[in-house]
Amino acid sequence: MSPDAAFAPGDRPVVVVVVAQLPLVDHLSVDPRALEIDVRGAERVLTAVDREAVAAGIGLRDQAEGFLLVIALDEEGATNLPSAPAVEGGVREALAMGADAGLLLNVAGAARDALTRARLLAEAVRHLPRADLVLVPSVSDDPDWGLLPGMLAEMLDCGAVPAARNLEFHGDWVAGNALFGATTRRFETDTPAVLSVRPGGHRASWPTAWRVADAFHSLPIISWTLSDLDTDGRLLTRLFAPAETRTLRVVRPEPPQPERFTDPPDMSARTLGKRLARKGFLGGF
Amino acid sequence: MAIEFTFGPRERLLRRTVQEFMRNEIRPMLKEDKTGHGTFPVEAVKRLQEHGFFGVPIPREYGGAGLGEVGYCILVEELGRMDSSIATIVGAHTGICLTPTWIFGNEEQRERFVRPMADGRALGAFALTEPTAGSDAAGIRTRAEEDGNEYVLNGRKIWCSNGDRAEFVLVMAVTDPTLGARGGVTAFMVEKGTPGLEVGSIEDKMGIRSSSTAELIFKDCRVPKENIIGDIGAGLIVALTALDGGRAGLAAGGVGAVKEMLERSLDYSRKRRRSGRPIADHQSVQWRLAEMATDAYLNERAVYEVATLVDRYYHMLARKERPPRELRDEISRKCAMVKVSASEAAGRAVESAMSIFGAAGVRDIWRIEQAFRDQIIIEIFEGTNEIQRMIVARDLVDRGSFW
Repeated sequence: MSPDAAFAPGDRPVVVVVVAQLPLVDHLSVDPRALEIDVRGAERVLTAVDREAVAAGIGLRDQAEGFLLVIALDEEGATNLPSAPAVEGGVREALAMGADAGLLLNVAGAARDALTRARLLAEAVRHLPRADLVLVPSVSDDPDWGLLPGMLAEMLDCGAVPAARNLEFHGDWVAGNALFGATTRRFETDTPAVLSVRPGGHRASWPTAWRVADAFHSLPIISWTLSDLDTDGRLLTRLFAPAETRTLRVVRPEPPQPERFTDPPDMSARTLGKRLARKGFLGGF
Repeated sequence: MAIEFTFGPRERLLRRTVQEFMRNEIRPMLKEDKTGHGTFPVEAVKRLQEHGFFGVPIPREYGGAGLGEVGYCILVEELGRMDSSIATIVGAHTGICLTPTWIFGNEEQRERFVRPMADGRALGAFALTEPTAGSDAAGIRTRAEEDGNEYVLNGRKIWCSNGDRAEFVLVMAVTDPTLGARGGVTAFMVEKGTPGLEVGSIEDKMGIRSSSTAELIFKDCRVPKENIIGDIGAGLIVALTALDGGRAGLAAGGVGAVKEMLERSLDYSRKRRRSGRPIADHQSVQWRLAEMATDAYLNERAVYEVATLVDRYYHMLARKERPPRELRDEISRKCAMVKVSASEAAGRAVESAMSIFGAAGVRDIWRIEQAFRDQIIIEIFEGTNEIQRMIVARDLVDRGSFW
């Protein structure tokens, strides 16, 4: 399905929330032959951290009268477990909370590390008609996800904000508080941007009975596979190529007054992890 | 009709949603008022209405969530786990006022009454019982006399849950005393503020103290003919159909109570140590836990199978189809069975929990004593368990077989 037809955000700003769908632990069983955890048929849910990110996305969507899209990799990507079919329990939960549409990236076996996940997500975001803000939960049950926001920002060539909360979205710029090192400071940055969302500071968004029903009957969930993303026939090359050296724009605070960032410093992708860690970003992620 | 029931992802999401919403949003608002006749939880009810939990089984086109009787039973089960008063308020509104109005009402009535009740703008109540007619519903004396385009109601109704709070009250009144139960009773929707409708005393109850139980007095209360729900003379069919489905909801509340008592007892008995080991190591405690778990498992299966059946039955009625007599009898019998079974299981579960908690159980803080007081009513309202046993037995004897 064409993304325009599926999501139809029109001229509205689009907020994208990346969530992980995790299987409910009380439904897991062990496959006695393969001696591995069998998640087939297990119900997928959002963690509390992912729900926080969706709630933040709903708040931002409402502020800018925009459109909220939730993206999840299938559980192979989210849990590193093989042989799991695509299910969408977590995305449906996000729809019930208030998201406008869901996108499930069903890419078997291709999303087992943070870099590949970031590439897949970046590819998907590029295929959207529009994406103004990309929100990623800043803490996840899967420690690999801590690297995701920075990588995603680099690949999308936009600013990254670590551990943000109390966000305000004004269409072409976004403001809020972010954790820089051990200090929380106010920031403002232009869109598009990737924001790692810290729990707290968002109004809780509870699904209503109406939306629970709609999440299964009328709200759209689109499932994309590699072929949907591979519009130029070179996707696999891009996904599995060695990391390129690209520039990363990192949003830095300018205390005490909030300012726009127009000339962010360049950072090498090869040393991204070390630099982020040194600056205290990884703790925030 | 044999039905295999399993919860789908939609039902599981609804359950999780209700659980978390109740735990995080509603529970902190609830505190039992032990003085006078209790305090109606206005704010909690408003929040639940805003979230669509007062119209769960009603189709979307009439403002509900369209989640059917199974969705409704999940809701009541989870509400029953947290607070029986809230479960009673929702049950009186949805189970025995809103649902029969949707089933038997015409399109104009569905717009006027069903939509505002389903989308959370209005609260409903049901008025059948009278001082001289309880279990023998056909013996009601409240009169409705035709006068031009109106009926004039006179009489008294008691035990009306939500009665003093409701915008709409579904009232059963005698339109033809000569016909009695066979065509002499009609259902009327009486709107709040109608001249002649007065609220009498509010009951001071042992349990479900936060739900409001009112006496309603009708003194020359004029109700337009367009407020008749169903056909003239079909009031007892409306009432009994509502009560059948309502019993499935009550049974779901009982299942919720059993699960809650089991969960709390299990947690407590594994932590509470006596003579150097947890009390859960004692066989007397283990047997109680095992009985609660068995009750929870069996009653849950039965309740949701019946809810599926009720859902089909109600949709047939709402489409103005005439269900076969056998189906109607099966619904009545099975709803009565699950009401008896689940309500008595709930009673046993709170007794077991009280026993496991020991002296701690009678303390206010654990809310076991509140559950003890709350659960007893499930065996009594919407038809006592004695009446339910009569319904089951009559059906068995009439047909001469179990299935």
